[in-house]
Amino acid sequence: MPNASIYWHLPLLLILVSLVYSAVRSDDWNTILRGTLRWALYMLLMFMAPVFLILWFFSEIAPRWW
Amino acid sequence: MARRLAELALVERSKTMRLRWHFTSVVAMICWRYSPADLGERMGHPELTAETMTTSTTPEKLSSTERYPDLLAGLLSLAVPGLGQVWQGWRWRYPSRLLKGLVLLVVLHGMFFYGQALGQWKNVFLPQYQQAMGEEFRVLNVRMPDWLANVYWRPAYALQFWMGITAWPAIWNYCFPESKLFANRLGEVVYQPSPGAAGPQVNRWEREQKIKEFHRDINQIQLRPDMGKRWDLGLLYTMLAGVLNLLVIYEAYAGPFERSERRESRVPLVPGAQQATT
Repeated sequence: MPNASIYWHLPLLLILVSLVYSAVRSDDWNTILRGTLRWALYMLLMFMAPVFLILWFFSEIAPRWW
Repeated sequence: MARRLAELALVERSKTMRLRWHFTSVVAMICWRYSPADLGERMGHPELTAETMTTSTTPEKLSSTERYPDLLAGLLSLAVPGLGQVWQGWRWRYPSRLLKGLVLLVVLHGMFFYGQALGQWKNVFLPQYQQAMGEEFRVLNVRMPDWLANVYWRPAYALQFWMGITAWPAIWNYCFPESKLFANRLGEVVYQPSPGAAGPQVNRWEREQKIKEFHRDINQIQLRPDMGKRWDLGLLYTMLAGVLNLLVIYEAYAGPFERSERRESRVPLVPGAQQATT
Protein backbone atom coordinates (compact mmCIF):
# COMPACT_ATOMS: atom_id res chain seq x y z
CA MET A 1 0.00 0.00 0.00
CA PRO A 2 2.63 2.57 -0.92
CA ASN A 3 0.04 5.10 -2.05
CA ALA A 4 -2.10 4.92 1.09
CA SER A 5 0.69 6.07 3.35
CA ILE A 6 1.09 9.42 1.63
CA TYR A 7 -2.18 10.63 3.12
CA TRP A 8 -0.62 10.54 6.57
CA HIS A 9 1.52 13.42 5.39
CA LEU A 10 -1.52 15.67 5.00
CA PRO A 11 -2.12 16.43 8.70
CA LEU A 12 1.63 16.82 9.20
CA LEU A 13 1.87 19.33 6.35
CA LEU A 14 -1.22 21.08 7.62
CA ILE A 15 0.27 21.54 11.08
CA LEU A 16 3.69 22.62 9.79
CA VAL A 17 2.30 25.17 7.34
CA SER A 18 -0.04 26.54 10.02
CA LEU A 19 2.79 26.75 12.52
CA VAL A 20 5.08 28.69 10.16
CA TYR A 21 2.27 30.97 9.01
CA SER A 22 1.24 31.72 12.59
CA ALA A 23 4.85 32.23 13.63
CA VAL A 24 5.39 34.98 11.07
CA ARG A 25 2.31 36.80 12.33
CA SER A 26 3.31 37.22 15.95
CA ASP A 27 6.11 36.98 18.49
CA ASP A 28 3.93 35.82 21.35
CA TRP A 29 3.98 32.05 21.69
CA ASN A 30 0.46 31.85 23.08
CA THR A 31 -0.77 33.66 19.97
CA ILE A 32 1.39 31.48 17.72
CA LEU A 33 0.08 28.21 19.17
CA ARG A 34 -3.52 29.39 19.14
CA GLY A 35 -3.06 30.60 15.55
CA THR A 36 -1.57 27.26 14.55
CA LEU A 37 -4.61 25.42 15.82
CA ARG A 38 -6.98 27.92 14.28
CA TRP A 39 -5.38 27.85 10.83
CA ALA A 40 -5.06 24.06 10.85
CA LEU A 41 -8.75 23.68 11.68
CA TYR A 42 -9.71 26.35 9.16
CA MET A 43 -7.80 24.66 6.33
CA LEU A 44 -9.08 21.26 7.37
CA LEU A 45 -12.74 22.27 7.49
CA MET A 46 -12.89 24.94 4.79
CA PHE A 47 -10.57 23.44 2.19
CA MET A 48 -9.71 19.78 2.69
CA ALA A 49 -13.13 18.63 3.88
CA PRO A 50 -15.00 20.18 0.90
CA VAL A 51 -12.44 18.72 -1.52
CA PHE A 52 -12.86 15.32 0.14
CA LEU A 53 -16.64 15.56 -0.06
CA ILE A 54 -16.59 16.55 -3.74
CA LEU A 55 -14.21 13.73 -4.66
CA TRP A 56 -16.17 11.25 -2.54
CA PHE A 57 -19.42 12.34 -4.19
CA PHE A 58 -18.11 11.89 -7.72
CA SER A 59 -16.39 8.60 -6.99
CA GLU A 60 -18.99 6.89 -4.79
CA ILE A 61 -22.41 8.52 -5.10
CA ALA A 62 -22.58 9.93 -8.61
CA PRO A 63 -21.74 6.61 -10.40
CA ARG A 64 -24.87 5.03 -8.86
CA TRP A 65 -27.08 7.62 -10.53
CA TRP A 66 -25.61 7.38 -14.01
CA MET B 1 14.74 20.04 34.82
CA ALA B 2 12.73 23.26 34.71
CA ARG B 3 13.49 23.85 38.38
CA ARG B 4 17.22 23.32 37.82
CA LEU B 5 17.24 25.78 34.94
CA ALA B 6 15.26 28.27 36.98
CA GLU B 7 17.85 27.94 39.76
CA LEU B 8 20.59 28.59 37.23
CA ALA B 9 18.82 31.74 36.10
CA LEU B 10 18.43 32.74 39.73
CA VAL B 11 22.15 32.33 40.32
CA GLU B 12 22.90 34.40 37.25
CA ARG B 13 20.55 37.10 38.41
CA SER B 14 21.79 37.23 41.97
CA LYS B 15 25.41 37.36 40.80
CA THR B 16 25.12 40.39 38.62
CA MET B 17 21.52 41.59 39.15
CA ARG B 18 21.35 41.41 35.43
CA LEU B 19 20.67 38.37 33.29
CA ARG B 20 23.78 37.41 31.45
CA TRP B 21 22.93 36.67 27.93
CA HIS B 22 24.11 33.21 27.16
CA PHE B 23 22.40 30.01 26.21
CA THR B 24 21.64 28.77 29.72
CA SER B 25 20.02 32.05 30.63
CA VAL B 26 17.90 32.08 27.52
CA VAL B 27 16.63 28.54 28.09
CA ALA B 28 16.12 29.26 31.79
CA MET B 29 14.13 32.40 31.07
CA ILE B 30 11.91 30.54 28.64
CA CYS B 31 11.36 27.74 31.20
CA TRP B 32 10.57 30.29 33.89
CA ARG B 33 8.14 32.07 31.63
CA TYR B 34 6.07 28.90 31.27
CA SER B 35 6.55 27.59 34.80
CA PRO B 36 3.88 27.84 37.57
CA ALA B 37 3.26 31.42 38.67
CA ASP B 38 4.24 30.69 42.27
CA LEU B 39 7.53 28.93 41.49
CA GLY B 40 9.57 31.87 42.82
CA GLU B 41 7.60 31.89 46.04
CA ARG B 42 8.03 28.15 46.46
CA MET B 43 11.79 28.59 46.01
CA GLY B 44 11.86 31.25 48.71
CA HIS B 45 12.15 34.23 46.39
CA PRO B 46 8.69 35.80 46.11
CA GLU B 47 10.08 38.80 44.26
CA LEU B 48 10.79 36.59 41.26
CA THR B 49 7.82 36.51 38.93
CA ALA B 50 7.44 35.68 35.27
CA GLU B 51 7.85 39.35 34.50
CA THR B 52 10.98 39.97 36.54
CA MET B 53 12.67 36.79 35.37
CA THR B 54 11.98 37.15 31.68
CA THR B 55 12.74 40.84 31.42
CA SER B 56 16.32 41.92 31.36
CA THR B 57 17.20 44.78 33.67
CA THR B 58 18.92 46.45 30.77
CA PRO B 59 16.43 45.92 28.01
CA GLU B 60 16.95 47.32 24.60
CA LYS B 61 13.46 48.70 24.34
CA LEU B 62 13.19 49.73 20.76
CA SER B 63 9.99 50.66 19.04
CA SER B 64 8.89 48.53 16.10
CA THR B 65 9.82 51.32 13.72
CA GLU B 66 13.33 51.36 15.17
CA ARG B 67 13.66 47.60 14.90
CA TYR B 68 12.43 47.20 11.39
CA PRO B 69 13.27 47.04 8.55
CA ASP B 70 16.25 44.89 9.41
CA LEU B 71 18.11 44.04 6.22
CA LEU B 72 20.82 41.99 7.92
CA ALA B 73 18.25 39.72 9.58
CA GLY B 74 16.46 39.29 6.24
CA LEU B 75 19.71 38.24 4.58
CA LEU B 76 20.51 35.86 7.45
CA SER B 77 17.11 34.21 7.08
CA LEU B 78 17.67 33.99 3.35
CA ALA B 79 20.94 32.12 3.95
CA VAL B 80 19.68 29.95 6.82
CA PRO B 81 15.92 29.89 7.50
CA GLY B 82 15.18 31.25 10.97
CA LEU B 83 18.68 32.56 11.59
CA GLY B 84 17.54 36.17 11.18
CA GLN B 85 14.98 35.75 13.96
CA VAL B 86 17.57 34.01 16.15
CA TRP B 87 19.95 36.90 15.58
CA GLN B 88 17.28 39.47 16.42
CA GLY B 89 16.21 37.57 19.53
CA TRP B 90 19.81 37.40 20.68
CA ARG B 91 20.57 41.03 19.90
CA TRP B 92 17.39 42.43 21.44
CA ARG B 93 17.35 39.99 24.37
CA TYR B 94 14.01 38.74 23.26
CA PRO B 95 13.65 35.03 24.19
CA SER B 96 10.37 34.30 22.46
CA ARG B 97 11.73 35.62 19.17
CA LEU B 98 14.90 33.61 19.60
CA LEU B 99 12.85 30.50 20.28
CA LYS B 100 10.71 31.25 17.27
CA GLY B 101 13.81 31.44 15.08
CA LEU B 102 15.02 28.10 16.38
CA VAL B 103 11.63 26.48 15.76
CA LEU B 104 11.48 27.90 12.23
CA LEU B 105 15.02 26.70 11.60
CA VAL B 106 14.23 23.16 12.72
CA VAL B 107 10.83 22.97 10.99
CA LEU B 108 11.94 24.30 7.61
CA HIS B 109 15.15 22.31 7.47
CA GLY B 110 13.23 19.24 8.63
CA MET B 111 10.75 19.68 5.79
CA PHE B 112 13.47 20.28 3.22
CA PHE B 113 15.68 17.35 4.18
CA TYR B 114 12.74 15.02 4.65
CA GLY B 115 11.56 15.96 1.16
CA GLN B 116 15.02 15.28 -0.22
CA ALA B 117 15.11 11.91 1.54
CA LEU B 118 11.70 11.00 0.07
CA GLY B 119 13.11 11.85 -3.37
CA GLN B 120 16.21 9.69 -2.79
CA TRP B 121 18.32 12.89 -2.57
CA LYS B 122 17.84 13.49 -6.29
CA ASN B 123 15.15 16.16 -6.46
CA VAL B 124 17.07 19.40 -5.89
CA PHE B 125 18.99 20.32 -9.02
CA LEU B 126 19.21 22.89 -11.78
CA PRO B 127 19.83 21.33 -15.19
CA GLN B 128 21.65 22.73 -18.21
CA TYR B 129 19.01 21.74 -20.72
CA GLN B 130 19.28 24.69 -23.05
CA GLN B 131 23.04 24.32 -23.43
CA ALA B 132 22.93 20.55 -23.69
CA MET B 133 19.89 19.85 -25.83
CA GLY B 134 20.75 22.27 -28.59
CA GLU B 135 17.28 23.78 -28.51
CA GLU B 136 16.66 27.46 -28.01
CA PHE B 137 13.70 28.39 -25.83
CA ARG B 138 12.12 31.56 -27.12
CA VAL B 139 9.55 33.99 -25.76
CA LEU B 140 8.10 36.40 -28.34
CA ASN B 141 10.86 35.24 -30.67
CA VAL B 142 13.51 36.39 -28.22
CA ARG B 143 15.98 33.78 -27.08
CA MET B 144 15.76 33.27 -23.33
CA PRO B 145 19.03 33.45 -21.45
CA ASP B 146 20.39 30.04 -20.51
CA TRP B 147 19.73 30.35 -16.78
CA LEU B 148 16.15 31.53 -17.31
CA ALA B 149 15.38 28.80 -19.83
CA ASN B 150 16.78 26.19 -17.46
CA VAL B 151 14.70 27.50 -14.56
CA TYR B 152 11.71 27.49 -16.90
CA TRP B 153 12.30 23.78 -17.47
CA ARG B 154 12.92 23.12 -13.80
CA PRO B 155 10.51 25.52 -12.02
CA ALA B 156 10.71 23.47 -8.80
CA TYR B 157 14.17 24.87 -8.23
CA ALA B 158 12.84 28.42 -8.40
CA LEU B 159 11.02 27.62 -5.14
CA GLN B 160 13.66 25.37 -3.60
CA PHE B 161 16.24 28.12 -4.07
CA TRP B 162 14.72 30.14 -1.22
CA MET B 163 15.78 27.52 1.32
CA GLY B 164 19.21 29.11 1.31
CA ILE B 165 22.57 27.45 1.61
CA THR B 166 21.08 23.97 1.75
CA ALA B 167 19.75 24.45 -1.80
CA TRP B 168 22.55 26.58 -3.24
CA PRO B 169 25.08 23.79 -3.92
CA ALA B 170 22.87 23.03 -6.93
CA ILE B 171 23.82 26.43 -8.35
CA TRP B 172 27.49 25.73 -7.72
CA ASN B 173 27.21 22.41 -9.55
CA TYR B 174 25.33 24.19 -12.33
CA CYS B 175 27.99 26.89 -12.74
CA PHE B 176 31.10 24.85 -11.96
CA PRO B 177 30.33 21.25 -13.00
CA GLU B 178 33.98 20.21 -12.88
CA SER B 179 34.55 21.55 -9.38
CA LYS B 180 34.84 18.95 -6.64
CA LEU B 181 33.71 21.23 -3.80
CA PHE B 182 30.81 18.98 -2.78
CA ALA B 183 32.74 15.74 -3.21
CA ASN B 184 33.93 13.02 -0.93
CA ARG B 185 37.52 11.85 -0.46
CA LEU B 186 37.37 9.76 -3.60
CA GLY B 187 36.52 12.81 -5.67
CA GLU B 188 32.96 11.71 -6.44
CA VAL B 189 30.37 14.46 -6.43
CA VAL B 190 28.28 13.78 -3.32
CA TYR B 191 25.71 16.53 -3.77
CA GLN B 192 23.65 15.63 -6.79
CA PRO B 193 25.29 16.85 -10.01
CA SER B 194 23.54 19.16 -12.40
CA PRO B 195 22.28 17.12 -15.36
CA GLY B 196 23.76 18.31 -18.63
CA ALA B 197 26.45 20.34 -16.93
CA ALA B 198 29.90 19.34 -18.10
CA GLY B 199 33.26 20.87 -18.79
CA PRO B 200 34.14 22.56 -22.07
CA GLN B 201 35.96 19.49 -23.40
CA VAL B 202 32.76 17.44 -23.35
CA ASN B 203 30.90 17.52 -26.64
CA ARG B 204 27.16 17.86 -27.09
CA TRP B 205 26.58 14.15 -27.74
CA GLU B 206 28.17 13.25 -24.41
CA ARG B 207 26.07 15.89 -22.64
CA GLU B 208 22.91 14.47 -24.15
CA GLN B 209 23.91 11.00 -23.04
CA LYS B 210 24.43 12.30 -19.49
CA ILE B 211 20.97 13.86 -19.49
CA LYS B 212 19.38 10.69 -20.82
CA GLU B 213 21.19 8.67 -18.20
CA PHE B 214 19.97 11.07 -15.50
CA HIS B 215 16.36 10.83 -16.68
CA ARG B 216 16.59 7.06 -16.88
CA ASP B 217 17.85 7.01 -13.31
CA ILE B 218 15.06 9.33 -12.12
CA ASN B 219 12.39 7.30 -13.93
CA GLN B 220 13.64 4.06 -12.44
CA ILE B 221 13.36 5.57 -8.96
CA GLN B 222 9.81 6.74 -9.58
CA LEU B 223 8.74 3.39 -11.03
CA ARG B 224 10.01 1.40 -8.09
CA PRO B 225 7.07 -0.44 -6.49
CA ASP B 226 7.90 0.80 -3.01
CA MET B 227 8.02 4.45 -4.11
CA GLY B 228 4.38 5.07 -4.84
CA LYS B 229 3.88 8.82 -4.94
CA ARG B 230 6.75 9.59 -2.61
CA TRP B 231 8.72 11.25 -5.37
CA ASP B 232 6.00 13.88 -5.82
CA LEU B 233 5.58 14.19 -2.09
CA GLY B 234 9.29 14.82 -1.65
CA LEU B 235 9.17 17.51 -4.30
CA LEU B 236 6.20 19.06 -2.52
CA TYR B 237 8.02 19.14 0.82
CA THR B 238 11.13 20.78 -0.65
CA MET B 239 9.16 23.37 -2.62
CA LEU B 240 6.88 24.14 0.30
CA ALA B 241 9.86 24.68 2.59
CA GLY B 242 11.28 27.20 0.11
CA VAL B 243 7.99 29.07 -0.22
CA LEU B 244 7.47 29.19 3.54
CA ASN B 245 10.96 30.58 3.94
CA LEU B 246 9.95 33.52 1.76
CA LEU B 247 7.51 34.45 4.52
CA VAL B 248 10.20 33.95 7.14
CA ILE B 249 12.67 36.15 5.23
CA TYR B 250 10.15 38.96 4.96
CA GLU B 251 9.19 38.59 8.63
CA ALA B 252 12.83 38.91 9.65
CA TYR B 253 13.15 42.00 7.47
CA ALA B 254 9.87 43.76 8.25
CA GLY B 255 8.67 42.29 11.54
CA PRO B 256 5.62 40.22 12.48
CA PHE B 257 2.73 40.47 10.04
CA GLU B 258 0.08 41.03 12.71
CA ARG B 259 -1.12 44.58 12.34
CA SER B 260 -1.64 45.09 16.07
CA GLU B 261 2.01 44.19 16.73
CA ARG B 262 3.16 46.68 14.12
CA ARG B 263 1.02 49.45 15.59
CA GLU B 264 2.50 49.19 19.04
CA SER B 265 4.83 52.07 19.60
CA ARG B 266 6.69 50.32 22.41
CA VAL B 267 7.06 46.63 21.96
CA PRO B 268 7.36 44.82 25.30
CA LEU B 269 10.57 42.88 25.64
CA VAL B 270 8.72 39.68 26.37
CA PRO B 271 5.20 39.54 24.98
CA GLY B 272 2.88 38.02 27.50
CA ALA B 273 4.89 39.17 30.50
CA GLN B 274 2.32 41.86 31.19
CA GLN B 275 -0.49 39.34 30.92
CA ALA B 276 1.21 37.15 33.50
CA THR B 277 1.15 39.89 36.08
CA THR B 278 -2.38 41.06 35.46
